[in-house]
Amino acid sequence: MDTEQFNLRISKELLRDLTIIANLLKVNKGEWVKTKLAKEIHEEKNKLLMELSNLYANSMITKEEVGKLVGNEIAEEMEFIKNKARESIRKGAGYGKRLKR
Amino acid sequence: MEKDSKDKFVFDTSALISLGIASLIDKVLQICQIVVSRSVIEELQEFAKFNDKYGNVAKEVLRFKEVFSIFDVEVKEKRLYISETDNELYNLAKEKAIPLITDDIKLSRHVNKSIATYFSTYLLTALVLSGTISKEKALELLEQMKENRNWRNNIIYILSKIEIENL
Repeated sequence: MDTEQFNLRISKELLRDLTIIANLLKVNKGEWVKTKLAKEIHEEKNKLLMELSNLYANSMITKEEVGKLVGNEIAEEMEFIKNKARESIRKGAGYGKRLKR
Repeated sequence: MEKDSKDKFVFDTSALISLGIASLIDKVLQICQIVVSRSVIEELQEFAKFNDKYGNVAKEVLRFKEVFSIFDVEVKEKRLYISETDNELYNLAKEKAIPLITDDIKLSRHVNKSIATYFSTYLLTALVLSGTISKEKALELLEQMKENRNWRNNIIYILSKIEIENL
């Protein structure tokens, strides 16, 4: 896994609390913060992307606006899913009609 | 309809699980022939080892495996960035010139230009328009299928709901 350094300045009080947690759990402070941060980032990202996907699927925001907010890679993927979902439903309907005839 | 007279579709594990969650495998078999690679059966058997939700769905899907068309697939054209099983399904669909039904976005995006791919919701509308289930039932089943909530599935769900309501 590629890593990059990211420094944080936190209050002395927060650092004292973190030390208490680390001592009680017998874990490394840095490792504990990394685990918590990863979980929080994952959950928050999913939550926000869910909201963005709601707006995009309901045509309340454009692909270009999505791109500006979260980057073109996600915007392209959202567009692909939207088009493929439409295509799946419409082609499925065509197949169903053909079966009925 | 005889087995061989129905249109054939290649299914991956994700699509069979989605349709299994909605208890639709028997109905899907009424309107098409399910084609899979042996590795899909093996993936379902792995799921079925567990007594959780997906394990139970996999067991239910496997009840119908006798009527699936199961192939041992030689991968002649290997695509990067997708799994071995996905490569088998891609080759199977391409060789037989039939569409691939998958809810795996990564797989769908990587093979989209070479073969026809559709989400499992294709079968929902096919069932409605063929008169096998009602539109209301399809919307109810779509609710069950959306359970795995992430932003990707959320777009499929919203778009499918809008399209089915307009059928």
